[in-house]
Amino acid sequence: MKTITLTVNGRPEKLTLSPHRTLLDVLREDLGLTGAKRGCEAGECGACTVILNGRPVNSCLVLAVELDGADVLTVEGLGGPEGLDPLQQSFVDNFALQCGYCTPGMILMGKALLAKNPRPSEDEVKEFISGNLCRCTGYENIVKAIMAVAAGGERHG
Amino acid sequence: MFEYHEPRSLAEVTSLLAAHGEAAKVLAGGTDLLVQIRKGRHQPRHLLNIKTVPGLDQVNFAEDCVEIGAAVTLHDGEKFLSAYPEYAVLCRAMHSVASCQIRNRATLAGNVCNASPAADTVPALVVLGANVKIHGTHGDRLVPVDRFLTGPGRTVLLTGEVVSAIVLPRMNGGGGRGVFLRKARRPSLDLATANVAVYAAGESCRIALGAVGPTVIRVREAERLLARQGLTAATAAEAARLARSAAKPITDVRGSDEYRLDLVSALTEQALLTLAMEVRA
Ligand SMILES: Cc1cc2nc3c(=O)[nH]c(=O)nc-3n(C[C@@H](O)[C@@H](O)[C@H](O)COP(=O)(O)OP(=O)(O)OC[C@H]3O[C@@H](n4cnc5c(N)ncnc54)[C@H](O)[C@@H]3O)c2cc1C
Ligand code: FES
Ligand code: FES
Repeated sequence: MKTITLTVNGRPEKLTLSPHRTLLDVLREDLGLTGAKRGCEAGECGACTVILNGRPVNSCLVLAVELDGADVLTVEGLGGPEGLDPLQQSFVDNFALQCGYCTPGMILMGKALLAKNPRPSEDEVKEFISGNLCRCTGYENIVKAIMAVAAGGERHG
Repeated sequence: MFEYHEPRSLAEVTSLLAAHGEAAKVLAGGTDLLVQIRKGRHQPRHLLNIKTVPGLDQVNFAEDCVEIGAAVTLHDGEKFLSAYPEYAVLCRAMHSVASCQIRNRATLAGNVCNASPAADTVPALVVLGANVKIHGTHGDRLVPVDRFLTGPGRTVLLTGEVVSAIVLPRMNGGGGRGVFLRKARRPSLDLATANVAVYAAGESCRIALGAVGPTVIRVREAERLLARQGLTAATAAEAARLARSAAKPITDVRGSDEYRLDLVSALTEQALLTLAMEVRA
């Protein structure tokens, strides 16, 4: 067992962990944060995506014991009492989800992309989310939802 | 179940590896290793996280070489090298791996050490003349990437040895240019059905093929032809034919051996024609 301290969605957490557990296990089972989804557990679907030290990663492929001092953002860390994050709202407005299983990962990928490239092209959006599978939407509305926020809501279509 | 270690020096890594032998595994980004453990393909009793060794996440530019530390991720490697057009072939290959999320964790050294026949960075490293820097109990040794790899999942690493860096020769304005092309069933998150890297500097040209043999294949006969007769549409077509006969592909879920041979020939010719345009530009 190893004890680590890390920040999750701005809150400090102290955890004592067995080394084989992944960040995904710990978020879902110890911290009650079920936004990150368990899909393939092999890096192939992106449903478990979280932002680790500013960068999107597959939480199913990160050992939690490695994360002493790390900063983690999950979909639960977006928005606040005043309402949804603009990208979350855009997913609602653009019908960018059906079952919702891929949505936390897709939204975090959108946040990560817009943080480093506020005005991506449609192709850049598609490439950036290409590690995230969606079984339902056909992707078009997901791309639209991200593009709508990229354009600051000024651009349409 | 394994014990987790955070070594603070390469010496500590090698002594742990020497002490535990086969039961110990180096953990870099974990994008191959954790999947393999989950599938039961490896059951290490000790995991050595080399990301905790200070300095391994650095890219060092020296007079005659560029050392990419074993903890440098594909994302960071691409960012560091993107300012140098002579390394564009490697940047392209690094960017082809998996997805954004995986490139944020996966290391360049791990891609080589995992020794998958389809590893995208390997053909690019081979045409650049890159070496693997190995640290062991008796010091360091340098091995060319193509000699480092001995078969699927197999390398020349001995018990107690760890890769500390991938070393690229410094081109010092020598102005070589390269091209990397791959074909997979979908652009992201799929291993290549075949991949090809070509590189030209002055009169010499190198060609390396991936995913069409147990390890990377240099097409030396085609390289000699191009050195003798120069790069033209006619020699590119002939080189593609030679690449096809050098390849030894298997049939698997990604494609039949026949299809792979056609891919090798098409990708080689296309890569050489693209290279000819880049060299002229
Ligand atoms: C969904 C998915 C898609 C993928 N797609 C591609 C693709 O398109 N193209 C491609 O080339 N690869 C692909 N990969 C594999 C790619 O992610 C890895 O090869 C990666 O580069 C390995 O680096 P790592 O740091 O994660 O290595 P790890 O998983 O940490 O290690 C891999 C192996 O190398 C050993 N090792 C690592 N570093 C060292 C060292 N310094 N010294 C000695 N031994 C070491 C480990 O012990 C282990 O056996 C994919 C992987 C996944 C999960
Ligand atoms: S659950 Fe992590 S990528 Fe699918
Ligand atoms: S909305 Fe169902 S998987 Fe994307």
